[in-house]
Amino acid sequence: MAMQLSEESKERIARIIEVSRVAIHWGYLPLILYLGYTRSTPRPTMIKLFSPLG
Amino acid sequence: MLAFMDYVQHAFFNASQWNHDNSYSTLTATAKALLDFDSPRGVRLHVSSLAAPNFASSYTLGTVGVVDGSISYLYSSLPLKLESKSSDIDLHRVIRGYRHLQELRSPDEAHWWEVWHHGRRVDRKNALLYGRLYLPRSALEALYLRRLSPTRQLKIACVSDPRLVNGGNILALLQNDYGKYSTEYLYSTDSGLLGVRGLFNFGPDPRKSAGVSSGYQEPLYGRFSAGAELYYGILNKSGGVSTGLRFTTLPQHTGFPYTMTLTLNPLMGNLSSTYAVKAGQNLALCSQFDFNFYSYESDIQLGCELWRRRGTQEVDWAKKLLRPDWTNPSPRPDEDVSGVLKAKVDQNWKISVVWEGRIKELLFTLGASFDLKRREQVFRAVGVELQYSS
Repeated sequence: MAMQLSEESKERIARIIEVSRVAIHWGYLPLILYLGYTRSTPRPTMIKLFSPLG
Repeated sequence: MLAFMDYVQHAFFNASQWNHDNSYSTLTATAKALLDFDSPRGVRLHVSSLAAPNFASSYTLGTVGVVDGSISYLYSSLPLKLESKSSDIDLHRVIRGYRHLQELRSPDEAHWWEVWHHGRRVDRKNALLYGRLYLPRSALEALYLRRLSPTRQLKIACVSDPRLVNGGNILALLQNDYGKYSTEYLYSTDSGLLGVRGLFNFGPDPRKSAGVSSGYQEPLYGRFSAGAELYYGILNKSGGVSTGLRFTTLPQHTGFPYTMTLTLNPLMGNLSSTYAVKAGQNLALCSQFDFNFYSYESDIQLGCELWRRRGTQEVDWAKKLLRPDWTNPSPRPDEDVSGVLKAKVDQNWKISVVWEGRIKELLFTLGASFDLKRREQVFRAVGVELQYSS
């Protein structure tokens, strides 16, 4: 028999999914920038990181 | 023309020894490149750079009625060695045309990728992260690629857009490539879609022939592949299936290289056959015939790709006459290319023409589409796309 989730649990799961979506939406590009800046060898300058013309 | 970030992603596939062509999803890659190419609309400008071997950035500004743009960043844990300056990029790598498939190679043994240091395993699985934010509508396209083993790759692609149902969707794809055959399993949160794809290559198994170094091996002139895909949507309880065959010549083939494909979708009743031939160093031709055996509707498309080269020297004619086998050692294989023309036409007289090439330090794509049946408005779209990268 399939497990029935209560309304409260469903709401909680929906909220967790929505919060994760917003976190990925605004956090993914900064994460890539952080990894690109800290883990690149040689480490690029800040100007070069953001500006292709720099 | 490939966008800079797609060019960098292909460099990641090459660096991590992933054969992008050995998949059912790329079975008709040649026909798609010659017939389904995008014609630019409006004006679009891309400025990109490979700031470090592990990091690339790209900014796009376009105008098709309204001004829009995008910001994209890419991080690869594997340092990428590629020509990133638009003045130096080999045009063959960014202009998709006739795909010359290479002989299959045996996948590496898993233990070859292990790195040990003081009795501890220190190797890490290579990954690529790519994100693109579209402005002003604030939609995010995110991609996460991870090479799990020499034969396996995980790809997670997400779209986050407040205007979509549920705010976006996620597509997870687990790809296995064993050389002789490849399999893909996919799941998408959009209608809970589950899918499986497979491609099988007939002929000798590269895993078995790799170990045999002695003895004569007959060269392979062509490859015959068969594949299928199966989908099922859990939420809408509907499925889909398609099957396909491909025969393509390999580099050992002495005549004109050609590729033939036949795909069948039995549920929709669609049968599609393509034939592409590389008729010379500078010319590729392609035809596609679609037929639906439920509605008896049919469709035909013809396309061509023409590489235009400029005469390198005024004494070319004399060289050809005296020493036809001489070749000039040039620093770049596309140095004498002045542009590539792609054109396609279908039975409704809809024509698309694209001219791609390099001008000074910019890569450009000029495109136009015409509809010859609509006399009052023959021009459907005109566009130009410029790419600069450093």
